[in-house]
Amino acid sequence: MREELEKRVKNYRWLLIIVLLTLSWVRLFLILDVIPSPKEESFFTGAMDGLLIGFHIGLMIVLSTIIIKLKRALKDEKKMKSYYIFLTDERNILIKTKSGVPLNIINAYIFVVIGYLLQSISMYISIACIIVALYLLVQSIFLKIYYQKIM
Amino acid sequence: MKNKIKELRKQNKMTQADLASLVDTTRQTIISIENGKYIASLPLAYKISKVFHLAIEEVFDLSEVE
Repeated sequence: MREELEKRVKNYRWLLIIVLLTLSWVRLFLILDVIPSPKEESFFTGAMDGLLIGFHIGLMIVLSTIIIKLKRALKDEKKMKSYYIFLTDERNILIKTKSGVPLNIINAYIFVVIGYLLQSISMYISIACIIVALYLLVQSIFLKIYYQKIM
Repeated sequence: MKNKIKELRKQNKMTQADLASLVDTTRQTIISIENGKYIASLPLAYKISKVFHLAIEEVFDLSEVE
């Protein structure tokens, strides 16, 4: 039980590092002109900056909260057991799988990054990417609520 | 799938939380199984049957499967 939770803490730490590195690399690529960057500042580029930073900060907050919760659970046997049961509960796992929670979040994240990187090529491609990302997130949330009700 | 978990639980004066804790699952899962909304996996069905010292087919009605 303890090993499983410690493994999860490690995995979430790696995810946090990946999110942090992606944010810094994407910004660096644009600054160094490795990928074509928008020539002039506009409301759209500002909005895309805000979206990218906001999405990353949101992910970092979620990941940090999970790590803190897991760390606290590791100190208390009772909390550890209840948290472990919650994480390994077969119904919860099935609901997550059916609503595509981990996969859709990863896909939405990739779409946001791609949309940001392609903003200088076409504004419409970026908007389409953001819409797809939002759709994936909303779809997962609705499916999760739906399966929680029927199962 | 129908089952006798609710009756057996009441006979043994057990709450849903007690049973959930004994079989390492959440109370919500026990509620769903009792209401027939969720079909337990074979390992979980085995654990539940073991708590009541019965065979799986005595707790779960497998006629629908057959």
